[in-house]
Amino acid sequence: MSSLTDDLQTIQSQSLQEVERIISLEELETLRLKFLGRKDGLLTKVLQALPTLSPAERKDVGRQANEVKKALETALENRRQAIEDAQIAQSLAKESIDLTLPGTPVLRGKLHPLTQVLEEIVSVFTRLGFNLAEGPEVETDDNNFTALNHPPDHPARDAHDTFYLKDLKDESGLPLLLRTHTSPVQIRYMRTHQPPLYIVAPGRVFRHEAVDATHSFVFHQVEGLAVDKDISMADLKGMLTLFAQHLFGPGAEIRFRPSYFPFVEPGIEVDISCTLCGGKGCRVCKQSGWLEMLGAGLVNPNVFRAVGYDPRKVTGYAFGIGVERVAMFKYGVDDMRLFFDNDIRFLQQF
Amino acid sequence: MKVSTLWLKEFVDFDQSPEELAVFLRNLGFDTASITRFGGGIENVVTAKVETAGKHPNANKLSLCQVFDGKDRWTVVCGAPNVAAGQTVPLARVGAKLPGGINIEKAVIRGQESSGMICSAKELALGEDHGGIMVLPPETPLGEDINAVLALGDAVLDVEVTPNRPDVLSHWGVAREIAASLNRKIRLPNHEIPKTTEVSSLVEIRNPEFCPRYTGRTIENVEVRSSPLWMRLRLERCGVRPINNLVDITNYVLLEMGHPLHAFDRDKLQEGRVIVRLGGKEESLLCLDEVTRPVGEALVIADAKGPAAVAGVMGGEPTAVQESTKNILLESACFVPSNIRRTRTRLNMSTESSYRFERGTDWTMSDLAGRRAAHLFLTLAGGKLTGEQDAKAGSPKPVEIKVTASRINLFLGTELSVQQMKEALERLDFRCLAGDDSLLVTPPIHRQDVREDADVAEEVARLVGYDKVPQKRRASTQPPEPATIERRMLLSARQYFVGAGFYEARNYGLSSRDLWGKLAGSASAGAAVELGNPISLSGELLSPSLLVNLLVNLQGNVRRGNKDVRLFESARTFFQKEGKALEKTSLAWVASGCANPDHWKFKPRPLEIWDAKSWVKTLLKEWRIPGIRFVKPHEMSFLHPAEALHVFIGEKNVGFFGKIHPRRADAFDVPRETLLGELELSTLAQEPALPLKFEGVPRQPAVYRDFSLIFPDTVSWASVAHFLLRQSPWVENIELFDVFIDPALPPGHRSLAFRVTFRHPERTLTDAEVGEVQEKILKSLQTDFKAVMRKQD
Repeated sequence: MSSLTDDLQTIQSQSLQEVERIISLEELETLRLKFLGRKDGLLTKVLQALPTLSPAERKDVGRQANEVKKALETALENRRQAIEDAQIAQSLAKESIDLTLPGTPVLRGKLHPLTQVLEEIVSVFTRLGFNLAEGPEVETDDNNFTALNHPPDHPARDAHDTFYLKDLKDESGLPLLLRTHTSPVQIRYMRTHQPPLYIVAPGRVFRHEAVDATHSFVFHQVEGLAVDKDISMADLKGMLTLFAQHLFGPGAEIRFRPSYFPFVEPGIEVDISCTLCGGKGCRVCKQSGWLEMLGAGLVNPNVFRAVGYDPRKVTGYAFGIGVERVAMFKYGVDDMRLFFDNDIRFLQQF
Repeated sequence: MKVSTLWLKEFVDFDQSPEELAVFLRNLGFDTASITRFGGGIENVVTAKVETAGKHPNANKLSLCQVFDGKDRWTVVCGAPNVAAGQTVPLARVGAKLPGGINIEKAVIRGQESSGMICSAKELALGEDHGGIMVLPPETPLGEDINAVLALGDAVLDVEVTPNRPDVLSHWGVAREIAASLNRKIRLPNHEIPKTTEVSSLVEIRNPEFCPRYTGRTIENVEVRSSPLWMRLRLERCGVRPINNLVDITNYVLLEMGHPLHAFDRDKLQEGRVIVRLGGKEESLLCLDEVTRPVGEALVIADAKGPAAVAGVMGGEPTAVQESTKNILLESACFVPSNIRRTRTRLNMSTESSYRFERGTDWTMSDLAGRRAAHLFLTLAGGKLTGEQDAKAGSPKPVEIKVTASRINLFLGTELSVQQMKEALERLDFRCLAGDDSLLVTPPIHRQDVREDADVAEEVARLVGYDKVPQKRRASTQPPEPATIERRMLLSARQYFVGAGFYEARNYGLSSRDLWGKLAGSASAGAAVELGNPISLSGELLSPSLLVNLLVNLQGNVRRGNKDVRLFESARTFFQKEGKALEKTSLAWVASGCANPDHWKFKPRPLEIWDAKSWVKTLLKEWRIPGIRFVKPHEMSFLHPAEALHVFIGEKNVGFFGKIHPRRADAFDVPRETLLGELELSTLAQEPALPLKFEGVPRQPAVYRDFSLIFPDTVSWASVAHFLLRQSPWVENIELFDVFIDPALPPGHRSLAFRVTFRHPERTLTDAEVGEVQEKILKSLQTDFKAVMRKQD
């Protein structure tokens, strides 16, 4: 019995000393086999001898053997971790990559800047409870003009150089046309809905005019219309101030100037304070501190009559925002034609 | 419209600078496009006569002149080639100040003393003409301050007048607005004429429905000469070329009072009288611009012989005043706006006269302007007023508008009192009867645009100022409506395409017959919608397909060296059918280049039809539209015959995708590998989408079995996959992982290798169970599809 106990002590001290000297995983495995190998391991042999002992000795020696085994296994595991750590540290130290090399490019497109601005404008109003409305680009003379208080032979029609369709006519025999503004959506919506109504109508519009840096025969508008029982100019001013501050920052202010659009009365032109110079005057705002941004006004009673509303019972406001204009100012784009060129070197900048 | 500030000051007093005036006008609703200044900062420049102009003794190009300013004689060296004895000129005397800070001092030029300088127009800041000295009319008195003679210190504002305000299309009209704004009095110009006899036979109005008033005046023995300098200067500054006193006076009064007038040479009018009537179909007129026009049904001013003028638009050459004119008939009339507009549109001519008449002229001004012009004729052309006839059909009644202060405050969101409103309106010459809240408003006759309460509200706001309108916050009271299916599909498509590397394009929506033919073949042009008045041939059609412009965009990008170009667009497309324009929302895309961008480590691979197929499939899956079929194109089109598919729902063709036909690629000068596709978004939006429903996440393990079989080429993968899915309820998924084509295989055959996933929803499948199904599948494939097992290596 004592010899086995001695053996165990020897095994313990010898093995633990040897573990400390080992520097490779291979040697560590050899060492493990030397002591714990299934057949010939020194400790295994002690354990194998246990059945030959008396029950009392067996219990004692068995317990001792297990402790030695546990201690050795712990030492082996610690040593293994230490060797691996050293190895990883060594290999990491060797690794050297030029991380300035380019990463794999990701293919990702962009929405058109006009879409981004258009959606941003729309979202300001939809969050305030406006509904989205849309209409066709091919329109009737009535929806585009007459119902909007541009009667036939009215000089206000001169402001809208119009594309007419060849050979295609509406029900009253007038040639169909490409809408010159998004305002016909007002007519379509009012003719199919009853107040109160609050809508925004974004869309593409067409004017028969020459293209240059600041003019295009195609552009985009966001139309707004609110009809309720007691809507006033003050409501319009409040709403457009929110719009301006949302798009151009909390410092943006607006200014109303009298103007004339037949479908509104009073009609106004709305200027937004130039946020580039803080209203001091700069090249972009032509030293005035203000930028012409949109046209608006209270819905003309004649428009209400045209859609069958009673102008004594409802009032409303309407506005039309030029999307290109906002985008040009917001991003500093100086040529409108770039929006329609679709060069990806332009599109990827937004 | 150009207005001179000095001219305005004849009617109303104001001290504002031209810039301040522009701000005033802007706040009243009239923008100023530009301000041009005439002279200013000139001192001690007077009119003088060149008495002698001899050669400078020491210089070839200089003259030595003796100049008389009415009091003193001066010797002046002059370098201008046009200087000559007898001229009246502006002389800058010693001590004079000229624009640009120039001071004139006594100087010795090539040995000759010069006491002053004879000025050119440029030196007086009156234009760029530096070719010579400025020569003044011979009748100009000597020693006069040049500032007064040439009306210097003037500024001309180019004012934009909206079409609803024809009453502002004149100096008088602008002055009236300024006076209202400043609350000042306004003075009429001299329009006194002697009393004369009424001549009943001078004017005959046959169509009073188009000409409610025509005042004719006869002036005899006029003398044609050039107008006085002040008048010529004013005309020139307002953009009108002076001709002679007769012509200039009518133009002058037009600019001054805003009412177009016409002077006929009365001796050339048959019977010396005019008839206002509709033109005849066969009649024509040689107009003042020397173009003969058929007058058709236009309203004309005629004599017994035929048309002498197109009413309100342009006079005729044969009866126009000339150098030889002695007697005139002066017309001052009112014409109905819509008639004038129709006429000038039909005859395709726009004049200062038609511009005003089609916007509406002022009934009272018709008389006033006629008197003013007659006064000027008598003053500036001599002659005698010998008769007049004021033919009219009734007279316009003033409009009474009943409105309340509370109604106006409702419109404006203000809290103005009745008195404040009354005061504002009265400054505009509106008559106002005010009660506690009520206002009975009568606008003056020249304000034909003010008809009801909203118009009155605008006038109050203009005068009070829009800065008085407060801000209120009012959100929508309309219940929110859900976004349309089409819009939701569009938003998800945009997101999808951006994520797949596509840039969004926006095009004009027009294209040419030529380009459309290049894409679809010329036979398809008939169905396209054409414009009646295109700007150019490149925009004569409404695009029937977005691809036309997208391919042009692609070509532009490739030409500029952009690689891996992917573009998509959603916009309307147009066709015509049975006389109707069909408008659809379409979604289209083009792509060329590589599937993955070039990288130093991972090499790119070119895009293939398989990429296009996945784009469409993924998008359709996103939209959850069931029952989509892909069908091979059965007719020759712009698609590659082998590498393209049409998209069908039921029997409806809703789009296509694939590789472009090589010939079309060449025609558009884009790479032959270009992929493209187009879907009818608005048609797809009509299809009921599957509801989005959670189907659970599988909890049981799956069992996988790989198959590798040789199939005849006639067996499509889709038919195999479809077949496999029906073989057992446990078949969850089939994944093709290899297609092998090799000469070692029997001809007309290919090998397909695929992995089938089996799963039971409630329990783990055993090997044996799956093995049974696997056997069954193999047997069926061999019998039904003539498939052969590949030999295992």
